[in-house]
Amino acid sequence: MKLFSFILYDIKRLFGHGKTAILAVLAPIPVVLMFGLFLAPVLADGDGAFITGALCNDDESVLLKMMMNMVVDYEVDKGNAVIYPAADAEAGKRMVEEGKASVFLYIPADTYQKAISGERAAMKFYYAPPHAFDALTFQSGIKSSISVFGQSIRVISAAGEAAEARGLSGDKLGEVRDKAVTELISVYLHRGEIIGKNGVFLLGGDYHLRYALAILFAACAFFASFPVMYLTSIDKAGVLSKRSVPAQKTVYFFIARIVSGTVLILCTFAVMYPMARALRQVEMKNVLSVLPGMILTALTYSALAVLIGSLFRHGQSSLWAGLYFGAACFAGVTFLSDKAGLPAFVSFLMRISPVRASVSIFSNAMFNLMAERYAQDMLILAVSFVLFTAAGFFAYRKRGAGFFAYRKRGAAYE
Amino acid sequence: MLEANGLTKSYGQFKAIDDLSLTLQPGEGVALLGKNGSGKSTLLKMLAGILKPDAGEVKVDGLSGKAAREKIAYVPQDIVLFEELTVTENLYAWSSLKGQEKIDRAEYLIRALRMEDFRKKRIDRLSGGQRRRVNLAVALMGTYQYLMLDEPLAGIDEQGGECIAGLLKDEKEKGTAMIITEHNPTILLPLMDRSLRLDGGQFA
Repeated sequence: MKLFSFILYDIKRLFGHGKTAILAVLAPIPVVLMFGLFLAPVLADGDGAFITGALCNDDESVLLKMMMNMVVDYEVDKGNAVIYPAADAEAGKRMVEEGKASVFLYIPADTYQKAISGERAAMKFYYAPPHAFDALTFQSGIKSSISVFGQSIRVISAAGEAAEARGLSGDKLGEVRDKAVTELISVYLHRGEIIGKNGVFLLGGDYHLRYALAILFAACAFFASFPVMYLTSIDKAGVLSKRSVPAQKTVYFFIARIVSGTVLILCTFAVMYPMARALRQVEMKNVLSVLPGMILTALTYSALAVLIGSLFRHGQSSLWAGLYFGAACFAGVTFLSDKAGLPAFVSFLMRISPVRASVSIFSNAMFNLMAERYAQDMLILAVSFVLFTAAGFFAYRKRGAGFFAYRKRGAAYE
Repeated sequence: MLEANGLTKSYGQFKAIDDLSLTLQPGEGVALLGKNGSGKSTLLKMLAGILKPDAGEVKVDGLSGKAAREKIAYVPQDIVLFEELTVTENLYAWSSLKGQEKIDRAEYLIRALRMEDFRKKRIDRLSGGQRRRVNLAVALMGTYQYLMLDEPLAGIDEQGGECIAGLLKDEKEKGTAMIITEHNPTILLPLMDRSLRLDGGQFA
């Protein structure tokens, strides 16, 4: 109860009687508007081959082969993708590892038959971590194609059976069925034109638009944590250093600050999500997957802000450090995350970066959930939260009036 | 009883406190006098466990470490408060930290230090003297038997000085021992049982 009460006071402090909170909520609006008015149209108009993929289809089904050929040819003709054939699964994986392809799709034998008969049909995707966004685009495009195509074929088959029962001849039936399938593929391939998209891979600049929107989302959350850095530095140099706060009570300060920081960052999300919905038709059903990502991101960024704030005795210094650190992280995610051939260390950093993970979560969860990647990113954020919290707690108490300070300054009693 | 033996503290080549020892009995009041830079604040911080001495030790009622430290309230010379909160909120927040029944103690301190008129004002909107009174009240929110006050009257007017003196008198009558540093001891000196003058890091 005492802790809860102290958390409420800390929220009040951090929110500056509402002023900081209002700023945190309103600040992203002009940024998002600028993005929506100027940057988004440029990104959305972009064209060119966005996806470099490899494909190995071991399914002998004629219809599936026909569909895959049509999808791939269409995308390649449009300049949206470059797709290389892979001789087998191993060759495809090698192409990904060597950076020749961003993503490799393997379609095992009988996939189509299983899908038609209602069994679980699993295709395999391989991608290099820096190409997670390409993988998502590719996977969701193919998955959607197969799903819609399979269901439609079942409808056509059912219609054909009904027509046969009413006496339609076999030749005529085959002719109508072929026409329907061709029509189906054509309609499917061009369905994106209705909403201004180009092809089946969520194509054109939309992919980049989503990515940019996710970066904006994460960046606004990070910048919303600046008051946490500032106040933490001030408290460390002031209250915690100059007053005799009971050692165990510094834990109250620490927990309260992480919680209040999380609340402040969530305030930013409260306005970002509706803005993202307005900009790029984010579906309401995705709230369920975005919300845990938002909460974990807010917790992680808050813990990171407390860590940064704890390292400096002056509020301004922590703000500068946060600005440079944040700028470096977001620049890295923006310009490096989809690059192949990075030095191993940089590649590793990109892989474990909580900033990349949060961007990836928003890009993934807001638009089209890829569960495996979502879980992986959530895990990275959870581990980062634990690490930042542990390191932050160490730094927080080191120069405060806690255990470490006591060891350092309070040895008069020992 | 608070016992300090052989306390020494240097800042670079400058020896602020040089092998000082003192004892403080329960309920006793000691005025620590001396010119600027004589080491009063340094000694007080070491006694309160805020600053580590280079040598020497402090024991409180035979205890050392955390248990000893919890028996002492320290009033810093600097104003150290939650600037964004009101006077009442500051007292309540500190009571949360110090595990105290907030309402009774806070209300008592607000009355005793005559802060009723500005209790709902934010700290950053108070005058220097008003802030000084809140600074003292926050330190007194905990439970303690020893009080270390570093220039509690700095920047305070006569009326404020009188109410602080009244409060400290009550505390002393309850058995709280205290050490006060003050440049102008006319208001608080009569409350003290003895005075010590620091000069060159040693008692003169």
